[in-house]
Amino acid sequence: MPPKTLIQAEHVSVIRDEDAILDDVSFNIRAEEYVGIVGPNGGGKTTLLLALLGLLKPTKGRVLIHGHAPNSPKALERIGYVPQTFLGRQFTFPITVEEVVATGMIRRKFWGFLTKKDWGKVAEILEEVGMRRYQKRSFHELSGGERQRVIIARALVSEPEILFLDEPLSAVDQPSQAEFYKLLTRLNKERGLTIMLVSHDLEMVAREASRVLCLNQKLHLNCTTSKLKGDENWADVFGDRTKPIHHHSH
Amino acid sequence: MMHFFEYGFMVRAILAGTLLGLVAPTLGTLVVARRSSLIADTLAHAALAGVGVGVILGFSPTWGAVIVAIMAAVGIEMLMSQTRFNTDAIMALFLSGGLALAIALITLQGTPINFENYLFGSLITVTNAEVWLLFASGAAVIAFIGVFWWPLVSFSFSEELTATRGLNVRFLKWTIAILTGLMVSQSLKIVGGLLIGALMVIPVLTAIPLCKSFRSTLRVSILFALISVWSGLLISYFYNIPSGSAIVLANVVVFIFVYFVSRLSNQ
Repeated sequence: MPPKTLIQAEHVSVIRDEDAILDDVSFNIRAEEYVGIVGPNGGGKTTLLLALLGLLKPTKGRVLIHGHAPNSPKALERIGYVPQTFLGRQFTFPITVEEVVATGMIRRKFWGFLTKKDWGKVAEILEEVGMRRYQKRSFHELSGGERQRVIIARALVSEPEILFLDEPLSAVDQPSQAEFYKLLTRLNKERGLTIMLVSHDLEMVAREASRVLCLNQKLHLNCTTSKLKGDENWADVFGDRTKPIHHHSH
Repeated sequence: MMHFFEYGFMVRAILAGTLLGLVAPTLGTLVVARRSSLIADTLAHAALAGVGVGVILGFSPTWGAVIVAIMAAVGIEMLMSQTRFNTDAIMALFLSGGLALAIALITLQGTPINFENYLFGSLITVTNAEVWLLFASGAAVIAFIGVFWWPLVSFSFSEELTATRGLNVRFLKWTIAILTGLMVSQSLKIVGGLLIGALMVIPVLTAIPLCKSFRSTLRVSILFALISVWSGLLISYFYNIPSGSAIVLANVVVFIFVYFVSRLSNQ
């Protein structure tokens, strides 16, 4: 049986001040896919992500997560979100790594306190992302890459089926990036987590993702990454001088 | 030394001060974490206008302060969510507007209420009814924060992440602002409208260098606030200086001491 469709975007348009930010975008994403959303700055990547997260209502068309509106309780419990790296710099108040992860439980634990079992779950997730030894440490002592792992743990603690990431490594050093992508691949393969990764890094998407969506107001390309090579649409989306680079493992 | 307990006003002041020492840094932790420390001072100035409204309309200045501070809290949140004005500009509008209105109303009315009591705090004038009102509001604040602790920590950490979990961020924002207005307006007699913001913010600033977690920052800031309130009340009693001034100075002394000790121990 083919994997079920998790995300449906049907003729999604977002218009602001008479300018189309997204123009009639449609696609389906099946469970366990690893999708890279690429495109130039201002091409609508983050707008699409906001629509998928239910934080922005499309002007036309609709988004469904598992058949439900994205801001419905049934959709919300299926999604996790990792924002851009700047997050840690905005918040300078004392908070521990385990407290950050525990805030991911707020849908289930809206009232009252966390139980011993809940804290066990926090420790388990931190172990999974390789951050268990930092559990009691201050979040601010961590590097950019480590912080993003903690934010992934925060997303995972609510046991989502889909993880949305918005350029999560824009200010993270190269070795930490490689470790981070390894973690995403492992979560995709071992947990069966569906990943929707917004990025401007074509090379990385071509290497890591299983499917690519190229967005520049319109959806110019929607295909598996194995079919990318030589595709003419890259020029339409990014300009003539941009080509994807393929790395083959030996 | 303990003879001040023989005076009813001193017992009321210590009870009210202890309540404030618990509640002010609890709310302070949330506002400092969200970088909106100025809201306490802003609402206190609006509350002073409420004192004037109460005097003019002939009802209790305390109730006038409560009502106007809550209206200002709602107004600030509405302007922040519906306009593109900067937060600090909105605060400045309400802060100076509140004080200007307070002075105008008090001057127009002309009756001899001692406005200084509301500006700097006055232990002698705190009534039993005001202590009970403060107790009820403090209980509401602590219950709210206890029940919604994790959503509030999440909201303080990141509004964006909290919104993506489907929580009503606006509800949390408005409730914090309204509870801050409620507490600030009832602190006028103890700490004074010009100084209450300090009791919410300084204990939290003192705790920050010593703490790693959100929860421990809350606990340690309450401890510092209680130490400052009790020592400030005693100083006020023995040296006959306004209670608000004495409490805030005690806070500042504790801050300076802890700051330098933590700097030295980190070297």
